[in-house]
Amino acid sequence: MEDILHVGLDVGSTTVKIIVMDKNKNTIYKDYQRHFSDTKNTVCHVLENLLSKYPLNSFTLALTGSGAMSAAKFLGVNFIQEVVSCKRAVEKYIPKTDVVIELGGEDAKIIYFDQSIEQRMNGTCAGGTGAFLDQMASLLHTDTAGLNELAKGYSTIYPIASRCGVFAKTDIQPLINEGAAKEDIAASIFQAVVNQTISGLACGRPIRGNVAFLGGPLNYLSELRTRFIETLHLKDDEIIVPEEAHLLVAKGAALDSIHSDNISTNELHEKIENLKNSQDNTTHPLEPLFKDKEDYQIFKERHDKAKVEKASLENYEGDCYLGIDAGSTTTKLVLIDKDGKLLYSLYGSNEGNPLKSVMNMLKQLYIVLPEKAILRYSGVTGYGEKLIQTALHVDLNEIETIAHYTAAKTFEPEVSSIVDIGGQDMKYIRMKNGSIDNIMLNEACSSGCGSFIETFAKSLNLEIEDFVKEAINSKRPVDLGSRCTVFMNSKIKQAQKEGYSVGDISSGLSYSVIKNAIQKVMKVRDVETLGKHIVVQGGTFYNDAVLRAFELIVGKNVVRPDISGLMGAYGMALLSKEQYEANLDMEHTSSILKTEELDKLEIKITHTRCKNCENHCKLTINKFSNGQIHVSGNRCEKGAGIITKEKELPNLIQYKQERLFNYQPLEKQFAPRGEIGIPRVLNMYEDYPFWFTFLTSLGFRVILSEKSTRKTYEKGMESMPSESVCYPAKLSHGHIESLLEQGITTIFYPCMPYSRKEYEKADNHYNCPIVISYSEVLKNNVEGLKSHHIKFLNPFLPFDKKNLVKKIMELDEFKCYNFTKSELIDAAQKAEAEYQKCKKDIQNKGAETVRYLEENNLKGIVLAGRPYHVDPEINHGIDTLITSLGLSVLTEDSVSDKTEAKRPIRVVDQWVYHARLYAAADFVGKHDCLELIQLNSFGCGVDAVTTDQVEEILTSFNKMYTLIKIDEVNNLGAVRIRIRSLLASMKKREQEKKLEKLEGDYGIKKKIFTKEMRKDYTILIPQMAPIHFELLESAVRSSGYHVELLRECTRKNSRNWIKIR
Amino acid sequence: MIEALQSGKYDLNKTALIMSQTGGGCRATNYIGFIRKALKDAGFEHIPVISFNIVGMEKMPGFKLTIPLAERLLKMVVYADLLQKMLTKNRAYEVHKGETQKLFDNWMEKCKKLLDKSTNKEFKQSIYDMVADFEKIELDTSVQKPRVGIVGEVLIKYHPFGNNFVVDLLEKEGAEVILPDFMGFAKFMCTHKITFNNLLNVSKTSSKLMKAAIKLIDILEKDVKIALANSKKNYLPPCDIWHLEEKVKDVLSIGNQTGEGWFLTAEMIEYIENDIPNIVCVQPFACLPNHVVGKGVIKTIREKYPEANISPVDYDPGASEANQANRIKLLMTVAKDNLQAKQNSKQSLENENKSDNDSTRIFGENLT
Repeated sequence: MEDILHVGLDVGSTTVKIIVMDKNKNTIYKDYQRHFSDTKNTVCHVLENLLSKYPLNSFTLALTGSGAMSAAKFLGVNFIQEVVSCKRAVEKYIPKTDVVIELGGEDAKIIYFDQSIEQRMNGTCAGGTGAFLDQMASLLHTDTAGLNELAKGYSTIYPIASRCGVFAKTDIQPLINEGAAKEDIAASIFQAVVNQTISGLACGRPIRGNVAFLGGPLNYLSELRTRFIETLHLKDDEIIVPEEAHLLVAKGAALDSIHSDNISTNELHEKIENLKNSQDNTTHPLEPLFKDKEDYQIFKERHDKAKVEKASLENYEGDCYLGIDAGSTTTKLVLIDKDGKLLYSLYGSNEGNPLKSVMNMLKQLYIVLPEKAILRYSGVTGYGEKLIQTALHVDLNEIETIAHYTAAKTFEPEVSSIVDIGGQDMKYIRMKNGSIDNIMLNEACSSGCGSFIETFAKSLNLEIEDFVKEAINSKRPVDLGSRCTVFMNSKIKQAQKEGYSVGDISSGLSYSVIKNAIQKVMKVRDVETLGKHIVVQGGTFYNDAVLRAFELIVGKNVVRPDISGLMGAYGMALLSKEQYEANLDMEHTSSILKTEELDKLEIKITHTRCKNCENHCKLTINKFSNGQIHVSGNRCEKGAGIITKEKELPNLIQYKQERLFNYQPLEKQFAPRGEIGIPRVLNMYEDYPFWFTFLTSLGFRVILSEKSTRKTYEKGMESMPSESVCYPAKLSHGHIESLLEQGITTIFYPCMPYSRKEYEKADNHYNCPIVISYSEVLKNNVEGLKSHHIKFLNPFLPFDKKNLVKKIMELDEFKCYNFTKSELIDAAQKAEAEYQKCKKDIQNKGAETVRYLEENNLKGIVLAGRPYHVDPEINHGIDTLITSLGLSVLTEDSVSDKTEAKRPIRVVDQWVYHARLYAAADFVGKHDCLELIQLNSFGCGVDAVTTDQVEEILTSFNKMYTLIKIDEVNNLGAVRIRIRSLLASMKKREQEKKLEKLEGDYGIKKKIFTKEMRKDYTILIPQMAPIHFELLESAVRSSGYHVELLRECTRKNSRNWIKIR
Repeated sequence: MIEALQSGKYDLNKTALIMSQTGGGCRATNYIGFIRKALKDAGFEHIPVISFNIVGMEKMPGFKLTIPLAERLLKMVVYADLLQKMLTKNRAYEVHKGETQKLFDNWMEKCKKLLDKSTNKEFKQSIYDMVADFEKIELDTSVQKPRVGIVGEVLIKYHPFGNNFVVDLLEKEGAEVILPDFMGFAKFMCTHKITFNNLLNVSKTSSKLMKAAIKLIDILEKDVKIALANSKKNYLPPCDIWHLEEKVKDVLSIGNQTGEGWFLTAEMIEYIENDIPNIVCVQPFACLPNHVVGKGVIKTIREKYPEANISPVDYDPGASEANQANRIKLLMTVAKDNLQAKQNSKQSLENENKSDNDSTRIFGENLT
């Protein structure tokens, strides 16, 4: 009998790897084969080779890798998690490793080897994987090895979107067209992968120490490694490139198999036979799109009804209106007559230059426009609206959401959701009570868009129309899942092998695109939230298969207008008509440039840096020959030079920042008790005046941490134990670091369970759990506090004078200061006075601002959040964005003193900061000049409570409710759309004036459970803990109540449970 | 719950709902608000919602926490905690598959009857009887399993749907799972007023009342402690809340009371000190206190107890189950490796000491 051999099999997304070790753990055999989506037979083949090579041995065997699960099942051998086999191998071969970066065909991973191993991997996105590289290489007509060769000779690196292959293609195509060096493009592609791995996978967790590069691409592509090494600033001794990096995981599996049972040659033969004969249909066909021909006919007829009325342009006489939609990739133009009938339309790609493409379309229009047709008014919307309005003197511009809504309304007056899917853009607009409730855009993923279907049809040499026709007749659409479309290529190959037809694939793709759209972009978990009246539009919905898939998935019929691709422009034309009619200036003709003016128009583009604030945005300035200037690239409107023209509008966020923190610390020589640091975080945005005064009065020189910036956040990144905590809490780590940098040795940041009670009838006066005790997290996690022996004072403290003084006298940590009782009392008194004064100042400012707005007939927005939402790094400058749109900004606490919410309200009203929100909402409800926008930090659990309640209050006054979620990502694009949509609805409401003012009846009458009810009511108990509640039911029943435990807890309703938590 | 109401099974004019309310500065206090909104949205506004809490919020005349009811509830928790212990311990090592579950079901019914009607003496005796009955289940301890304790948000840790069946998953991976006693949480809740009175000088009378309550619970649990101590199966005894409070003070202030508060940290320490070094910390999305008392303390706990193998796992509807499973499998791999290493070093120590190689003895010791 020969020795026992240890075999590890790694079944990856594209290859199968096998490693055989002898009893001394030396590798004696290895093999590596591509499986071309046929894992089953490849595994059998590899194992048969093994047997023919070692016919007399017995084996221990373990399988690992993303494709190994089902093979292991049929073989009846151990399956081990990839990360576990990786750990085994790393511990044995490269034990010094701190971080592993592993790229595979379809997956990308980072594994941190710390006290607890942490693995981060890509879930559904192909950005930054081998598949991405393959796709990009094909654009340069080479393979990945060729890409590597090219990259060796690069000189410049261009920015390429790494998040998504489709976007990357959009970036690369112009580079190729412009004749950029292939070498540079190749290196740029590698850099894109690096960026994706670092930003997308590591998500801020630093990659440092010894880094090992594993997996095929990193093993073979030296230049890709170089890009990583340069980007991560790795020193030579920190780089680990193990021999046979692509086999390392298989080695780990072999090592792990040592403890499993022996398998004899005969047994292995049997196992292989089992696997061969296994039928593991991974793909179950989906419902066909249409039952039969008739079904399709009914569908067809139903959608044929959604038609816009058309009229002929040729001999048209009279008024007409023009709408332009300048999208990011396409341009659309629509002309309507005085009754809203469609006269003329154009649709085309913008070739990367929206302005030029609009000019071309206009010229085309002018050629066919009859002389007696009078162009009364014109409007533009979309990505390039401002630029085009300025350059071409378009009469009107409007935010695209409103344009789309206006158009959708003509097809479905009660529209509740608009879903717009284009080639690589999509948006989802949710309506509520006739105003825009939320909007989602695809920013990093195009998997829910149509371009993939077209590309695939092309690759089969089919016209898209034929491809769709096949789908409609398909009887068993293949389930392609809802991952990145790049991954679908391999699934499609497999499906073809399993005998699915082109139509089955086409219909399967339609399902997948819609699933992706709903899950990834719209982020809808429950399709019911789409409401009853859905309008779908965008070029992709011309595809009947996609349209049908959408209807089947959301479970209801939807409306698809026949001008699905032109809706933005059509809506804009309608808005132009409306505006013309509202202006009552019947002589007006559109100011839009005519043919000869278009010919003369010259554009000069210059770049500069804005000097108006610390951001120094890169500005692009378009100067037109007619004297107009358009500036873009500016984050706030200061750069556009608008603010300076007008008188500055009141902005209480700015005021409050100044008022809170503008205190002069004692000079060193007058501060006998030395320096003490306070971090500018969380509740210090409320309590700083108190603690500053308190400590100053005791003779401390109080040093405040820096103003928050992105850098502050990055400084503290390493010590954050939780990814999902809110951004304001995450920022506080950086503030502690900032104090340490300043050489502070004593830091004061107490835990404050309570705030001051402001409303008598409120249920309680807690702080939120994070505000109460985040300083405990800092104490336990910021290394510097221990290593620098910092005195970190964070006791639980009350704020009222008597107890505060008593507590400080008692606590050990304050003993060394030898405070006397009388000086503490004095300090506490002064502190409270200053706190009250500061509060009063803010409230007075609020009153003053409301008066100013009313007197000058202006509007203001109450930006309602927590005190710390005034931090510009947390609110990302939303306040200046609002003032730049011509509105004043107030804070919740500047108005919350002027009214009180009607109690009892529905929620348990136990947090002080939140009680202010309710009062502010009530105040806004009662004032015509105010609107409210609520800011909500992502990950804030208590806001799940407050947002609904604030909305209820506002709705009861017939006011709009806008909620803006903010996290560490600074993306004002969507926010700007939301705010402009709010403004548009405000304006509209004012024009219509038909809405009666509602009284604001949001109080709740709690239904009382009376003694009588006890006799014959059944009381339902939700299941929360199976063992305990089983007995609880009996215990309560024995006490004379008819209780019933809801045992049948389905997965669905438990999901609902979690959702509301 | 809404689904149940819509099912048509209940007369909606004769149905009420009951919800627990913790009354702290945590979202849990507000679940009742959510339910009311959900009822309103579903058109069930007329259905009364009863709050179940011990701090006297939202009084409803038809439902009162009377002394007999309170007594039943306390006894119920004692039973449930004990049954839970019996189940997870014996199920992990039982020789005859399914035997534990059968006995468990049996005792579940007995407990229900005893809750309905029993003298204090009968109650006491039943605890000894239960432990003795489970003692008869034959266990196979020839292969030691890593012990994994679960801590975390109070609802998620008990509810299999909330935690994607983490107990089953762990047991399948070869762990002995330890679920925390609910009574510990109850005792912790009782300390609230006492602590806040000490820290912030809030209210003296309620402080005294709560101290009495904890004493009462301790009396109820006395027999459990004795019964468990007499067992050879090495169950984790009910916690001593004051001891835990003392222990946890090195890590964070006992002022951390929102949600599971310092008790979560204390449970981790309790586990580790009772030779349960592997811990899964379950956390629902956006549960704020756990950022502080769960994930926030892991670093310090690892420094204090290097053998600790703690894995925080997030549960929310959007989290990928594959990631959760991955984390748990990793935890188990580390747990098994650690156990192996420990046994190896113990073995070599034994060999050195040349003591008799009675393998059963080794296992007996490892289990303690």
